[in-house]
Amino acid sequence: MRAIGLAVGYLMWIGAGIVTFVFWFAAMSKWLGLLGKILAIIFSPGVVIFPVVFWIVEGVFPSFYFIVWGVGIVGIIIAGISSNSE
Amino acid sequence: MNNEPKGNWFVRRIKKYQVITFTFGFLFFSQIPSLLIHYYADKDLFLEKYHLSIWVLLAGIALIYFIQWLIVTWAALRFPKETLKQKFLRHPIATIILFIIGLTDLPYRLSSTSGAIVSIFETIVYHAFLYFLWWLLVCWISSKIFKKERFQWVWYRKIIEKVFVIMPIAYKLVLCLIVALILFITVFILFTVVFKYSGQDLKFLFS
Repeated sequence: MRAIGLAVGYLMWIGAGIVTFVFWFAAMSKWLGLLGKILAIIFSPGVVIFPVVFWIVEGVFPSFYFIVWGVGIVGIIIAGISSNSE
Repeated sequence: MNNEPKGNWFVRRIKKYQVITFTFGFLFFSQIPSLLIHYYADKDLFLEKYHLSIWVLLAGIALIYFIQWLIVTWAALRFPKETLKQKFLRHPIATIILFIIGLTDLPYRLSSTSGAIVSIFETIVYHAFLYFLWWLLVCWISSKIFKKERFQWVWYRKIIEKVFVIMPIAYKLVLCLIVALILFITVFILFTVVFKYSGQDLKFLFS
């Protein structure tokens, strides 16, 4: 059961990472076009900077980004509990 | 050296067949939300349709899954990995024919599912187990007729050996992926409800 918990937790974490990356990539390509796409691959969104910039530019708080981020944290908690269990 | 898990037979079986137990636990718990939605959507229609209270129906579903778990763990206990491998190697014709029949029958079985990922997974697992039982019957009849092993193909042996290595890993990977996806969606919906998410940021982003 430990291996299953670990796999599920890490898959949730990786999945959340991919979805947040897609969000970041879509925002950057919308704002800067091809240059944004290249920059999105090179740079990471950051914990505070990107959501604040998104909030200022679009005028909407990026709730989706934080919800998916929260899902990733739940995944890490599941993996953590599984790695500690017998 | 005794590596057998301790406890009564039930706990021992759970500990020994963790993946099987997890599969049935997951399939059982994935039934509950749809049942509750169906029930709370129209209680009168639900009772009229099933002629049962929700508790009796829940207990019935739990009992069905428990019996299925008992059957599958019994089969796993009766046919350990090495015994099963020898059986596959001894009956290549039966294996190939039943594999082809099972594979061609699968699209028809899948067409009757709701299209949900758990439903598709459940159908494939049941279909595979059903064909496994048919295969066991054919092998048993075949062993009564043909006393000696008639065919020994190197390519077949290689495929069977590879399948026995890949299948447990592939099954666990697919199961974990489905569970992770379902958990991902469930937690996402929970967060969405808690934070009253309207989806406006996505509308702005993809407009």
